[in-house]
Amino acid sequence: MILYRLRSTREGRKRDEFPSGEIFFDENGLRLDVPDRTLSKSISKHFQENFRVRAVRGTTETFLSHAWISLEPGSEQHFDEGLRQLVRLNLVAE
Amino acid sequence: MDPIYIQVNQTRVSEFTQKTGDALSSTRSKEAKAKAERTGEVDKSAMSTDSSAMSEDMLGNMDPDDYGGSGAKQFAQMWKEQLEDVERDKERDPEEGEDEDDEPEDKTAPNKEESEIEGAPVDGESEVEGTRLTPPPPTSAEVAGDPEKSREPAQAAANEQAERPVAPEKAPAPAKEAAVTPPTSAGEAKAQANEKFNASRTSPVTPPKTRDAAAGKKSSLGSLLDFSSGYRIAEEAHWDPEAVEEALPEESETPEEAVPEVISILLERLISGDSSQPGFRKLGGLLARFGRRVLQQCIEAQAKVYLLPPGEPLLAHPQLANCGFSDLQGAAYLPDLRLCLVEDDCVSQAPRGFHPVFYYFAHLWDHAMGGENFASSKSAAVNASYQVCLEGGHRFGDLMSSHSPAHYFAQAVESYLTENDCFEPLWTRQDLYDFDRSIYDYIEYLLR
Repeated sequence: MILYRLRSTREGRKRDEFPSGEIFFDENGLRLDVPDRTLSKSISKHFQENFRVRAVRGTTETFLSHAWISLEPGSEQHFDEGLRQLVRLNLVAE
Repeated sequence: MDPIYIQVNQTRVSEFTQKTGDALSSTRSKEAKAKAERTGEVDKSAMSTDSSAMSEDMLGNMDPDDYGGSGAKQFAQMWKEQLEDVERDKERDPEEGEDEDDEPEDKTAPNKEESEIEGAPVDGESEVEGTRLTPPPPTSAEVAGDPEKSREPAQAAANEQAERPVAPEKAPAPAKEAAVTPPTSAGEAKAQANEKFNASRTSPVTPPKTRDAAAGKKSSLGSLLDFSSGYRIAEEAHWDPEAVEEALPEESETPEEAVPEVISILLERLISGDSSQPGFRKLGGLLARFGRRVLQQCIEAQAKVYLLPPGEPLLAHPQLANCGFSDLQGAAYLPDLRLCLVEDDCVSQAPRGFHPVFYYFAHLWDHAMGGENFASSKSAAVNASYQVCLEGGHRFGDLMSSHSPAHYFAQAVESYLTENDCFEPLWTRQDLYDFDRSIYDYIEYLLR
């Protein structure tokens, strides 16, 4: 996945033209290739946090509700949620 | 040439010549001093002049004894003569007491001065004891020489002293004690003042006006500084916890939650539960953001919103009690009953991540629009945006919103309507606008 910075424009936030680095998840865990050391440090710190996400409970036939679950680092689900929440760091992965 | 220019130029020339002349004179004097030092001469110009060489006019009133002038011997001689005269007078006193009045004033003058000087420290001591620096002004009785009347100001001063923590100059001993020890309470001060006042009433002269009588004429600012009734000690504050509890419901009624009358009528038909709950009114305020048309659609579909009593969880509902999940929080939607259940906690407190009231009422609205099924599952606009998000063209707010079009639509509605109602929102209205513009436009179209 390629990381881009988000740039504020009149039509909302758009991804920057040039990539800021690359991020991968394989058997060894998270792999980060970001030249900017400050940005790399903040991304690493972001992926070390536990994410609290909503889990679906029920179906459209029975009931619809939710529960809060915590995702710990090291899982692919945690990595996907981390990519989704990169918006907090003003980044986007594509 | 201009006369002003000439004048200015002349003054400049004269200043220059003066400066150069001063510099030359100073250099010459320095050279002369240096020569004198080499030759061993003493510079007399730096020495002060002898005071004895000064004339008596220049000495003025200065004591010649201190300066050793020519008048010092004369002054000492006069002093000795005066002392001798005094000794003679003392020897004559037992023999001729009546001759004192016949003595000339010039001889007795220094003695009077001495007695006054000797008496001064005594008065000063009394002032120090009484801590009063300025003596009271003489009254008409004192001026007239009436001894009884002269007591009156003393008693009045004692009354004042009882009112003030300052002792008068010529007050009697008990009055001094009262002044030294200030009254500890207003009652003591009043008792002392009454005693003094009763004592003064025995005299035939009418008592002077006290501060109490004058207090009524004082302005409001003066009354703040008036301590004639003693020192005011602040009363202890008594905290009443019941009063605070009574004041809480009044604070909860904020003008922000004011809802139009048409919408409030619809909300009364839509929301069920204990209307006396503090969260009941707030729930109505939140649902009012959907607008009149949406609320009317939900009412027509026989939908209901039920606010659970405070402290009662979702699992208390019989249909959710046996659902197999024990971690349900916030709110839930029961499609077969078209019922939205809302916990009191998520209304009375700001929830975290997202607002369940908006999210699950969006499910209810989606169901009300769709008839038997959810409208989002049939809507081309919602399904198209959902597919784009799955393919990566747009972005989901979180994992839950990617579960189905119904969840996706509910999350989009929640993000659209939420306005700083929760902590750490997962997906804000700005995020929806920036990263999923198609569903943002569709929600705006539906709620317009």
